[in-house]
Amino acid sequence: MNREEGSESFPVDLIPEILSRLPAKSIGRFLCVSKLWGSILHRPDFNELFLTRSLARPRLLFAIQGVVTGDWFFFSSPQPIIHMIRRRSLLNFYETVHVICNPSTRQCVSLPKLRTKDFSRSFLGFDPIDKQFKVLCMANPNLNYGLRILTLGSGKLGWRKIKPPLTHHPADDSSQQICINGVLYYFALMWETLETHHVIVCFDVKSEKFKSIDAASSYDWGVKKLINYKGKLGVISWHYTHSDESDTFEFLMWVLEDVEKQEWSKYVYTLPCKCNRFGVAGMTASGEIVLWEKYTFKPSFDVLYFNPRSNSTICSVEIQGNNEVFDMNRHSVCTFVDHVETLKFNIMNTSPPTRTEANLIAIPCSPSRLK
Amino acid sequence: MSKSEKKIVLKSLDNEAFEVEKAVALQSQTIWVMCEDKCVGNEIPLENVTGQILAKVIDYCKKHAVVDGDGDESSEELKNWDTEFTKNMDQSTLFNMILAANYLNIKSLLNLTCQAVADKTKTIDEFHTFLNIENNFTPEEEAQICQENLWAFDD
Repeated sequence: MNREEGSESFPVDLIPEILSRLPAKSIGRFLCVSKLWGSILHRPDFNELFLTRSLARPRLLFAIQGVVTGDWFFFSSPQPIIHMIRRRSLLNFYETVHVICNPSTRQCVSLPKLRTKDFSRSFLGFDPIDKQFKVLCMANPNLNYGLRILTLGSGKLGWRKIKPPLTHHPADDSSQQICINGVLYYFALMWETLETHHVIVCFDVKSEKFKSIDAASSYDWGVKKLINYKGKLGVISWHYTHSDESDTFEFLMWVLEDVEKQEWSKYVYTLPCKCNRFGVAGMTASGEIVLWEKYTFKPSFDVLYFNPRSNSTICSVEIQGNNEVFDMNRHSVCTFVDHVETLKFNIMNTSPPTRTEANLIAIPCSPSRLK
Repeated sequence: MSKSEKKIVLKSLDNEAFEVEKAVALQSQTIWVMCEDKCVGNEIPLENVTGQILAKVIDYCKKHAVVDGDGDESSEELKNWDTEFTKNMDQSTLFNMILAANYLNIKSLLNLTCQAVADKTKTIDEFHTFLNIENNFTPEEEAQICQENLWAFDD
């Protein structure tokens, strides 16, 4: 018996039990511990086990792009018991291409280039029935170029041109998108004769059919965020009021109860706090609204977890960074709730096991604004 | 008081005897099977577990046992108790607890102790010590693997 198996007292089949509970980064480091460990950590069943464990410990993910270099930095911290944030990975993109990446392992894939540079709005959707990711790309502002769809898969990747049945103009901020149960939602403007309407476009990822929902009512307040409210589409808008007596952060939450009838229910919450620089990052699967300090002059920012059921803040965390990365004035930051670490990056060749995994992979690099 | 509230005796590797209620001991699938098979009497020898570790396992099982109205512990409280339970255990105890939970087949205790080890153990060296692992890669092979996984090594 060689010495490696010599951990006789500790059964080999218990090793994955422990290692699957470590962060992805530790797994990357432990690959070179020994040949036995390397083979365990490379096994598909270990990847499955790791993903199962990750699903039980979702994280808050920040993707920060430096304006000077264009480098992407990923940070994540556990929800909602928070430690100091860890720097995940560093990506570098100089070309105007669409990139899909796994922030846990820094693996990424570039999608085929589009001929015209005007394709500036991109969305990532997941169809849980056929277990396929699709990228939707739209020219803006001129929709005459039409719309392109790319299905991620093992074959040769290519953009398909389709004619959008709805003439619409996606909102400027393409981070305002969410995919819930195979439907991708995003804000847009629509024209009818001379009138424009605020709508939420619903794109069925499997059938590739478009639909629009009137969103005028959720435009009461300017800033808003699409959220997943227990599997239903929700919109949170917020505003901050300051007076001599009090500071209040007020949320208005709309939940789409019935897509066909376009029935929304409305909730209002107030949070007494001095958080004028805060924005909403999203709602976690366990129902907490995550607020983060969008504008800050220090190399750190605060994150609040607000529980709407008890109308209380359950957790407030300061996230530390360094000056180089956290100079918020010069960087663009995207936030993602319920980020799940995964070791494999198989969206190009096999199907992901769950809907939740569709949340993992963002397109942090819709065409890079660098060049 | 129900009739099933019988007691059994668990005997450790170092011959320490623990008298516990059956409902407590039966959280162990291993003990459950032994009792089902009636292959043992009222005393069950556990050849892989020392008295020191068995005492802790029994503490855990008592807390988690659902015995007549004793099971109304809220899940939040139980979670806090679990955290406290593993908080001050050293690595060696934790690894032994994992082995015991595995041998006795107590799934929830196995989960708890594996998670505690994962949370507490940060470096490869700590695993080396307890799992007695020898690095059988050549330095070249090791460098090659590190090179392929650079993402895991930057700070």
